[in-house]
Amino acid sequence: MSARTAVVKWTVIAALVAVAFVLPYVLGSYYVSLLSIALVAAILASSINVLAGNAGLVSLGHAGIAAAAGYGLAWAYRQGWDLWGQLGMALLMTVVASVLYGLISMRTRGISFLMVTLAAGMIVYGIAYRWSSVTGGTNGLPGIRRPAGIAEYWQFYFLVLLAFLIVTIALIVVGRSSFGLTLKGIRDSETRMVSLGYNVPLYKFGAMLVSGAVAGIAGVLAVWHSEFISPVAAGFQESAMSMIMVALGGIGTVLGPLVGAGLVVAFQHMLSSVFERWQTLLGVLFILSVIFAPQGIVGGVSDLVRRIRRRSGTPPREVLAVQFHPDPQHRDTSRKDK
Amino acid sequence: MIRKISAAAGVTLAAALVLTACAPSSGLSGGGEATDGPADTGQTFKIGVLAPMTSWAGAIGVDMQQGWDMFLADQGQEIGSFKIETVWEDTASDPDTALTKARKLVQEDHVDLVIGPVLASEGLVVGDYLTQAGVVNLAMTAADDLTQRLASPMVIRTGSFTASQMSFPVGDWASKQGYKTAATICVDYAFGWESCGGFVSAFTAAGGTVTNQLWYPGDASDLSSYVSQLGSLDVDVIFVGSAGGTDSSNFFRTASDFGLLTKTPIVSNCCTTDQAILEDVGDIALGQISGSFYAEGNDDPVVAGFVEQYESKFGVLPSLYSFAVYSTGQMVYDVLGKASGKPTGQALADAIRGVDLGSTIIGSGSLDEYGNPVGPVFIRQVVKRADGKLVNAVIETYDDVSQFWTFDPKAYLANPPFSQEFQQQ
Repeated sequence: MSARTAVVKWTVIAALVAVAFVLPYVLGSYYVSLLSIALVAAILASSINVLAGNAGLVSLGHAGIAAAAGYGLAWAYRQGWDLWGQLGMALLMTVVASVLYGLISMRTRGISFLMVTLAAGMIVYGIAYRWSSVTGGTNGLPGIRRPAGIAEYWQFYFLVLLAFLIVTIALIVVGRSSFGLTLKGIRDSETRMVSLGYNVPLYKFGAMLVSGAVAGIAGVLAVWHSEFISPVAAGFQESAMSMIMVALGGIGTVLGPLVGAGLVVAFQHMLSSVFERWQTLLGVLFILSVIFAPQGIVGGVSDLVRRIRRRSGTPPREVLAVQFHPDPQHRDTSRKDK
Repeated sequence: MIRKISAAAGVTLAAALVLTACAPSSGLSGGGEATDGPADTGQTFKIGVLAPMTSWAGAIGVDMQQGWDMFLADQGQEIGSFKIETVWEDTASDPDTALTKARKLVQEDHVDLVIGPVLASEGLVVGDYLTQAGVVNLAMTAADDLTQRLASPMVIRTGSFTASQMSFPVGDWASKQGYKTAATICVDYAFGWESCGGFVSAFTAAGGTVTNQLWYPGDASDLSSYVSQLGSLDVDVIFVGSAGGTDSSNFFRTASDFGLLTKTPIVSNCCTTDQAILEDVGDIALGQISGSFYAEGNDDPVVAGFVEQYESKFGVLPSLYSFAVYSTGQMVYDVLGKASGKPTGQALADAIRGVDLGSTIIGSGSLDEYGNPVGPVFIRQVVKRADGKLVNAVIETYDDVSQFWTFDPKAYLANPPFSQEFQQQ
């Protein structure tokens, strides 16, 4: 592990961030708003990724938490509350939803966790759909306006970009904390962690709260972006799309949610203008990635890079492997490196 | 190699910091959401169409495209001094996608007006955005509030009537048949509440009594429990407000099996006897009554000509959506044919509000101050044509039906929108 590779790594990261900050100066307003959509989707995908990557819990209902936060904000806005009131309401709804999700899912894993979160998402959807005096039913709640300061599309883009960076760094920190390591232990062998005396359901509950908080941020940003919310935001398709983003990008990788979200948004909003069967193409891409890069695009690419480096005689970059490779063995070796 | 990459990255980073520190360029600060490009591209008039072309409502998009193709073939790509250019965008039957596509039409394509969207869930969000952007929206959704409590100067509903507007005459007609008591069964979301609300309000205002109201979920695949409940009721007439999809086919099949169709007279909203449903359920729908602003079996020469031409061109009967996009096109051409300079924004909206619906295939009427048509609603009955096809024929016409029926608009708008709890104006 040379200092030079670390320099390269940080320069690349800094350059990427710099490019992200420059983009609104060179792109038209429509493309900047597409970037905002992709980043918001990436934040929601990150909230699923933190559960799936660390604790091995795959959720199919996270759009429900995001939508709960979004409805909280939208409802408070239409009641005429000030910004802090709106954010407070969004926070309250996020906490309520995450606690409920956590309570009903903390004793499950695998398929049953998936089904329980799916059901929880459908409950949120049902409430949004039926309680029309509060949620506006299928019409949704239109006419929400962003607060001054982020009202312009480019100001909002910078906010979303900052939020994404902060969330990503925070989730890396969580993943490397003892809490994160315990979650990984639960993922790899739940029975061993139980016999070691860990309160496994409590850790799962905590993981759901962390993940729910991130989903809540995504929910608020999504409402601010579209200035509107409807039951679709809580629907199964929304949850499933976020899960696809994570799987496509690479479960447990740092950049996976961003890559997945970028691809899905590009298909959904750009390819669909020229090609009607974009959903079929997305499906084919997903199948190909499952077959040829089961760790997702980011996982597959970093594997490839490592293989090329090994062949050309350069020592493998173990530090990057920590981030990009979900294989626990690699994590263990790299930890010794440090 | 590595040094080169680092150097390039460093330069980019430095440039980024300089740029971020500077005040935003003119491209950023100017206009914001509004069109910030060259809006005036000579005498080309650009029309954006938002249609669901994929996902569950995809069939509607096909109908609209065929209707629009036929309109352009009929009326030509040029009108007055303008050359018409159309940009289609797929909403994927999803409100967020519809919004993004509306942004694309405005910010990238610089369209002069937007036709659509069709789905109620997409209508309000797109209308809200286009109003902010100052682009005229010719909406095709039936959601009541689009031209009521949330009406906007830029939004005009040219491609539909409100859901309740099409049911008011059905309630009045039912009362005139001597029916005193009624039960209703409607789909349990805004469209069903509004369809039912129209019937209940008009039927009650005409002296009738609604004894029972049933609501079924939009995704219910089995309606037998609802139909058997209806069968046990002692009422003169039953009103059905379906979403016009498989729910309607299910209703007719179950009602036929349970003997309800022969026991109690049934009347329905616009979409329950849609052409697609008649094709699906066949002869059991014969004789059914419904109310809508379009009837493919209308023997009015203009409508009959439209239907005949469409049928010979595409081999199917035109749906409500083909009809609506065609009549919307006629309204746009009516304005452009008379315009000297290119009308945009509010001037265009005002001009379209002044169009006489008598010059379109809708037949007669005008647009009210909220941007909603005041026009004919037909009481239709399913009959068999000479070639054996089932069509909705007109048995009675209510002219100049307003979205407020006979009620006072101010009092109407002071009331909440129709819901399960609020059904009677």
